[in-house]
Amino acid sequence: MSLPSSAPAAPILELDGISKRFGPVVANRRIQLKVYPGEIHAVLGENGAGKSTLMSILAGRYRPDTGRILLDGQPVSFASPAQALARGIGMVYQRFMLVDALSVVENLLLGHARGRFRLDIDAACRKIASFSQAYGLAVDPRKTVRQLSMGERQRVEILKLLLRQARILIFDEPTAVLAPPEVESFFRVLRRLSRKGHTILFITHKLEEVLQMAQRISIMRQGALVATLTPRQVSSRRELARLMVGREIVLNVHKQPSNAGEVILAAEGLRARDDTGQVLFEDIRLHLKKGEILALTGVAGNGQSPLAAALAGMPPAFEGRITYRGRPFENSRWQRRPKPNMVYIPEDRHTTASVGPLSLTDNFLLTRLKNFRRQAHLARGRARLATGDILTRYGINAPAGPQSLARQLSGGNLQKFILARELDRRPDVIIAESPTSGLDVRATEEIWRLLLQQREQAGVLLVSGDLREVLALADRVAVMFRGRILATLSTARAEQVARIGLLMAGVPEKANRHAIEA
Amino acid sequence: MDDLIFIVAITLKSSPAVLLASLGELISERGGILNLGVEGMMLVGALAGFVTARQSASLALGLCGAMAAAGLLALLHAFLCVHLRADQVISGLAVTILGTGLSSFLGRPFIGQTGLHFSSIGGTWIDGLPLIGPLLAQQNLFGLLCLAAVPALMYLLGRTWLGLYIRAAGQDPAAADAAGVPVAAIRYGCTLFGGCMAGLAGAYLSLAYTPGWKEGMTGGQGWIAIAMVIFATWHPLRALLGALLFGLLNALQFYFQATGIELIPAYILHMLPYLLTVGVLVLVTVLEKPVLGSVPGALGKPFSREE
Amino acid sequence: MRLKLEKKAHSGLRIVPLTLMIAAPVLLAGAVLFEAVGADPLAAYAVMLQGALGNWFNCSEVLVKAIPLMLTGLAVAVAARMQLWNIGCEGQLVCGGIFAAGFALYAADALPAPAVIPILILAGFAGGALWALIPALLKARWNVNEIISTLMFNYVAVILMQHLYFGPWRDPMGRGFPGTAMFVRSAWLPRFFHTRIHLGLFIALGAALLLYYSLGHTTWGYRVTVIGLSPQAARYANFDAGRQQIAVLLISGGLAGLAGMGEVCGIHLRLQQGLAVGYGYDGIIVAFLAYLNPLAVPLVALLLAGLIVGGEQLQAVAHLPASISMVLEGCLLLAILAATVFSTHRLRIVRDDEEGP
Repeated sequence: MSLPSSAPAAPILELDGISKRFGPVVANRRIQLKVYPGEIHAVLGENGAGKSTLMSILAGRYRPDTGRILLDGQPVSFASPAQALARGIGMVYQRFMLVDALSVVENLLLGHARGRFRLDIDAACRKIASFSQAYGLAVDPRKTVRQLSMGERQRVEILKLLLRQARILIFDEPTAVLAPPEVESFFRVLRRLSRKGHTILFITHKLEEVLQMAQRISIMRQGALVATLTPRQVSSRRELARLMVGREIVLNVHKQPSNAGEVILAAEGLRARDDTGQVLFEDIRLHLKKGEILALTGVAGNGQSPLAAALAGMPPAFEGRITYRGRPFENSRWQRRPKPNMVYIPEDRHTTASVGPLSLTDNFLLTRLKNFRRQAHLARGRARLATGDILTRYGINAPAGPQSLARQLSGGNLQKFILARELDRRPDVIIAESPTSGLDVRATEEIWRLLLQQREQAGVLLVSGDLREVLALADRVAVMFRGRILATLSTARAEQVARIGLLMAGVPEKANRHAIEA
Repeated sequence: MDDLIFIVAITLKSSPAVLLASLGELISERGGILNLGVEGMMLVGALAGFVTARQSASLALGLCGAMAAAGLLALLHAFLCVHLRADQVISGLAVTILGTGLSSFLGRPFIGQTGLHFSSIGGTWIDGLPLIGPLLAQQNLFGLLCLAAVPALMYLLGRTWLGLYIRAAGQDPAAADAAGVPVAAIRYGCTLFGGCMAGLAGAYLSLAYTPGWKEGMTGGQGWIAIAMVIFATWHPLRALLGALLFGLLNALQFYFQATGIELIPAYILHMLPYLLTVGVLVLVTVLEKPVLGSVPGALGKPFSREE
Repeated sequence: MRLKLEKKAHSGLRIVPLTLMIAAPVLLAGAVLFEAVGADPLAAYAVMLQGALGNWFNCSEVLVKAIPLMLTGLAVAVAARMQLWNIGCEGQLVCGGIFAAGFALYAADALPAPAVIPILILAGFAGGALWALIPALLKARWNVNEIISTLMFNYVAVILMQHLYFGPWRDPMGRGFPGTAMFVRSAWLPRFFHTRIHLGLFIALGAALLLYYSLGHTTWGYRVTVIGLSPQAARYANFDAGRQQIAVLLISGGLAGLAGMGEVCGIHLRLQQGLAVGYGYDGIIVAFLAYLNPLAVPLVALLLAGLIVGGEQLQAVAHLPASISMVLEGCLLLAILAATVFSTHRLRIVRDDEEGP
């Protein structure tokens, strides 16, 4: 495994002056990039830096407005992903392109319209098994995709490309949905692919991964490629971050030590099942104090979301007891009870926390209906004034003021609007679920500030799988795995913070089992 | 014993229309397109089948005519749903209204006319067969051939490339498209197939079951077929069960009429197929946990690569 | 090569091209059909136009026909606002008619005359609502597909009605006429202007105004809108979707029931054949032509009524089947559907090596 800088090899892939715009937005600006055979090449950048567009151009999903793509020195142009794949370039998207209801083998057979009418499942399974073996991609070909973990699904995606003889594999944020140990095994697969002569390109915004895995790093900012480096040329993470963001990174919001008061929300022995009888969460015991931020973390799908919803009084129905301001509630009474001082920011801001085709005024009314009515009559005029007021107070950018439709707002502005609407109620409990997912750095920072401010007068339950966010905001962290809280740790103590990753993967060391209720 | 044979024979004879229409709808829905135009397509098929057979003196051409006429309506529906990504419910309803109107407008000269029809296969050596002889004697070739569609479609869906493509297009068109499945073509094909089957179902009524053309002669069987697809949880074999259930209700109605037994007033009997369709629908919705893997995940949702 | 739907740069709903885009294919389809049966299309359309608007009486007949269409159109529209498909207006209309007829036949003469009409209105509404009740409960409780359940109940209602006027309610003096006896005078809806225009017109217009207000400017309407647009958001906001589904379907059924009551007590004056002639299905067209706007429903209902009256005249004068109006209605609905798309999008043939963002 020689470093390309010292290798005399010609580039397998070369981008020459690639530009792409979507309407007024310039996604890629005259990109020059060389990729060498067998290397692992990271494309680093913030959300919206244009990495995904660039890679999608390579994979044949978009066509560049200007510029050339050279493959093995020859200019090529792809009209579709299928054409790119035919030339050996394949991409694994962040959202896996698998049909959940079909089996692994059926998914791998899709798109292989070959000769005979009849499907030969057995022969296909044998072929898959031989590929799995060769690349260390263990997966049961007869299982339905729905039954697979995210890591297994990713392996199916890789197999799909390998079965079609892809030489260049592109990954879009490949570790976003994986638990830490799954990330490790994914990296092993990458190294193996690279050893076998495959070229790897992966998109990421995680600095650690880049330094750990990449042989070369290309950094993108605002549609332009600002630098291509080897890890040795990188003096510090800070420098890498500066290149990526274009200014000194400020994500270190200043957090004062918490000044926790009385317990405001507590849960005792909570459990719930879904429609099919699967346990969503069980044996949950937690408490939230006024003046603190408690994070509920874990790899997606380990029960944090349903638990947050249940605590907020939404389905699923639970067994056990929730205590709010010292008064105990069972499920039905908790769900029915109006909770004027409790707010819930669900992860899905586009169809749950807001209604896209309605105006901001009408979206404001969603949780504020009681304050803006005269008997049955809707006091929309008053609501419009109130909406305009929070738009200015929270600096929300809406094209047509309160009349703007929710779907016209950018993700960051919509999230700020939702938060503003809820905080305007002066809550004492805030349950916020992945409040910054998909937002750019600036919006993330603003949301974090808002949540930290709220710590003064409320208890905040932050549900997030993003460790960066958890460590930046939370005073305590409860780690969930398979529906249970494995431990609750203090972020103020470094030796406890170090365990969070392992706990998220479900590795309960002895010490963790008796973790201190901080 | 004779009574039983009578009931079974009528059951078999009155179920093929619902069977054909629901099998067609089943394939259409497996591909992701909800077709509420079945009733209209059946009516158009019934008229076209009857008229074509009568004019050309050929039953085979009659069937082709039925498929062609209903197929055209299906293509219209497919164009609106696949290319224009229009609302499938409204489009289907519009097709039903259009088909009902068309058949009524163009069919008026043919009301009460006689023409060709499939005759029962009795009166031959078949009568002599033990047990099933008298049962088969009342059937016709067309109706019996319909039964063959059930295993054929089971094979198609489960064991062939085409079936895999159809299932993928109905479950997750975006993923199917990414894998290289021609989603639009598959959906067109499935809708067209559904239309042709509805046309055949109509032709069964006008050429075999009650030969001749009568306005509104389907009497809601197209709608019942749609309900039976839900009852069938999108499996061809259970669609057969649903169709036979419908046939049985019809047979009981005849039986009570023929024997003069009035356990249930006649008008209640007339209502039963419709009421039981609702009942059956409730039963499957309430009792069955959603059968993952067969319910087309993207049913009724338009697909576009850009969004 | 393939066809591709693209968003237009400037999407605007300009009324003239839109109307043309809808009317042209519909009229063309009708012309082809007239040719097919050997009639002169222009002459046939002239007869229809004459029949609908030729003189004051014909115009008043259009208004008469528009009454049930307004009510069923409102019925479909209010349910569709919540993404519910009430295809059962036909049955609910029949049931409203049955309730009104039952009351008019067996109770009206025992009551003081001024009380009869209000009770008739209530009975019609209750009948329609009752017929929608079972599908509504099934939908709210178990999410049973309401398209099929409401539709199946149409057939049941018609069979029930036929049983009544052929059987127990048949006019003993009718010499085999399929219908009940004529109602007492107090159960006739008042008529106006020496035409058959009856009280139902004002009920329908009042209902349109009331729905407009309550859907747009009350907390109830707000809840219904949110539930219709996003069930998840409704659950987030703690709105009881099931209860509203039942309420909306009952209102929808009730409105259709009023249409039946109007026909029975305003036009036929007895329960007889000719009540279930498809007004329920026409309501679907009215609702979607009006883009679910209650204030637009009466206007669209007039248009459609003109089409139906014209079709009837065609049958009377030129002996062509009146079902031409049904064909045109179907085409109209399809054209609207396509025009809605084309007002914001266009279809373009793209070569396979082209792409779009």
